[in-house]
Amino acid sequence: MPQADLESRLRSRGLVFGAGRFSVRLISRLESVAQGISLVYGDYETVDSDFADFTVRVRRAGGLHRIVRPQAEFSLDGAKPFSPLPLAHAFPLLEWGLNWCVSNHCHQYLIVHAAVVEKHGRALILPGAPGSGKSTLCALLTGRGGWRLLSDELTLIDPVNGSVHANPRPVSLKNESIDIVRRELPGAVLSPPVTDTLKGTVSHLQPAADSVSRAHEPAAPALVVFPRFTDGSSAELLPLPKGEAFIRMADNAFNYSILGLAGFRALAALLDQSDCYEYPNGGDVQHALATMDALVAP
Amino acid sequence: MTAPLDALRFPLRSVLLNPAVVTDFDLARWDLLLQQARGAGLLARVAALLEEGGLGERVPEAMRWHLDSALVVYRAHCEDIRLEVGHIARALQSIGVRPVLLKGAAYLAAGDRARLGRLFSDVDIFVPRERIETVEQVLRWQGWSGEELSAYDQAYYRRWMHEIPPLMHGGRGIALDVHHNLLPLTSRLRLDAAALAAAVVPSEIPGVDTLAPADRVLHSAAHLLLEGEFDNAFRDLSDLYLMITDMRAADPGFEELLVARAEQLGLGRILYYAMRYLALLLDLELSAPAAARLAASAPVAPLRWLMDQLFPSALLPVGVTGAGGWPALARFALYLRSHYLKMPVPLLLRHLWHKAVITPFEYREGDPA
Repeated sequence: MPQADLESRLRSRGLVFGAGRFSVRLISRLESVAQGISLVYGDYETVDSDFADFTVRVRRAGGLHRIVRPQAEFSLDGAKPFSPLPLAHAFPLLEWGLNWCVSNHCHQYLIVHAAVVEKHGRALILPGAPGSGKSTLCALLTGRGGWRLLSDELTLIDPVNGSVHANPRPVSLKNESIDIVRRELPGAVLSPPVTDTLKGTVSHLQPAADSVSRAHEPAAPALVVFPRFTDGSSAELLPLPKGEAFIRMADNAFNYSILGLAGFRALAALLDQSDCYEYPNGGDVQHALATMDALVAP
Repeated sequence: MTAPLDALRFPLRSVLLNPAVVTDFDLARWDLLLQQARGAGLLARVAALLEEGGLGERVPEAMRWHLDSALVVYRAHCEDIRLEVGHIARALQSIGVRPVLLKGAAYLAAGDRARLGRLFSDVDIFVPRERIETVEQVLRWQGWSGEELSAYDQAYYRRWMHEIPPLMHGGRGIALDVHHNLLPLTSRLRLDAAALAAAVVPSEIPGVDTLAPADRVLHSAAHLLLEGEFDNAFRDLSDLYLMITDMRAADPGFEELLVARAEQLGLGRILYYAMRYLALLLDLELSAPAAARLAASAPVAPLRWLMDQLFPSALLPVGVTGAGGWPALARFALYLRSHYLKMPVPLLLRHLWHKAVITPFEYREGDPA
């Protein structure tokens, strides 16, 4: 879609596009938002539909901040889950807002805070605290390792059979990982880095077109690997008992208590089909790619 | 006023009045319904009404998971509230106090239709004023605690309000508001707490009561029209609609009983306004005899005119009226009115002075000295 069309849609009735598996109607007059969308959502389909799963707005906050230190705010049907942020943070704010839409409204899945990728039909789930390196790992596996991106942030688990649903959206990169990705993936398309956000410097990486077009193709669970950042060198995988993996994943789930028994069963079904490990991640890219590849070697 | 109520522009209203209208909805109408229902906190209610009406088959594929997901949250919420209410009842059993549930928790425990798809973040209970200190003490022994408040805020609650500062139980995260009356002690409207307490009825949850059906309606109306906060006003209006239509279907004499009870409790004017705006916005009319009797509680014409300029705009969802313009002014005017009704003017001025000027400089527990 030509840039002018995109901007005029964003400004008027909204641009409806498939953001991962969900359709989003975005209304925004902010230039940085239009720019971010056309850059990292380049391969996403715009939809000519009357229906959108989430109608969201990113706009300048009102009041005094209209003049002094302008701010951007995100809203879904009038609800504002975050405090306004500086105007320059508008595009990352949209991405965080879309994550919030999923984690707060999609209780047809058990939602775990984890990256998930797939190769040879086998899903690899990477739960991990911020700073454990899961996003970088996810970017490298999908950008260079031939893995398909399902999600860099929210793993959607089917409560009926434990399979993993895809929601491929731009991968959120922070601080050093932006440089690593630039170095390791020379052709990668990244949104302009935004400095001084709550998470430091943030940039979003456009996912591979193949991942985007397979947004409605689920993957069978096979592997759960908890990356753990270490100052030393990357080491071999450590097997993790399933009971411990269960508790750690339940702790990382957004809606485990809402789903109750269904959430327990979803996680049990997933772990029944998965091998679980911990990965002491020292940042060695080759080591990481080889280790994860060995797990799914045919 | 008629324009915003247009069925094409306001599908949420149409569905609340008659869920079967969805059979004629095109995808654009479903889209608007989703936006409006989510914005007004009524998505789970829409889902529950469609389910109750056997209309699940009519829901297009794209919309279905939104409704199912809202119902998952609603059912988990009901379960959490039932457990929490059980804990509260057991804690108070030791001192022989049967708590009376109010608002959302009461709708659930009484089985009112207003329970359908209703989410809320705190449980409100009503206990006799003379037992309030013991109640608070027992709750604290059993693991509930409150946020540290400044001395002024403590006094604000304890001397002037109708409730003690909110409590919360350690690991559970549901706030508990303990009331000894339904309106602030300083309010221009006085409520006879003993008359309310004398009429309570057992609920479906063992060990707890709710207000009598008519009193539940009146409390809901008073809350909606006096509180001065309109974030959930349309949802609360929908609660009243569901309660009244259901209660009068169960008891043909309900409407007249409701009007008589309102007069007895000094809430005739409140009920008058509530019915006026239920008729205007949700087509809910009282029968002629009940309406005629309630007309005696009407305000003078200029005051009624003024309220007619304010309430309808304030009660409709922001997603329908828009966030700015006249509706925003109307909400602000009614917010001021609510404070005026809550306290006598000198006390109100003192309160505002304290909040604006003193509080920012007040020493708080945990601040560096």
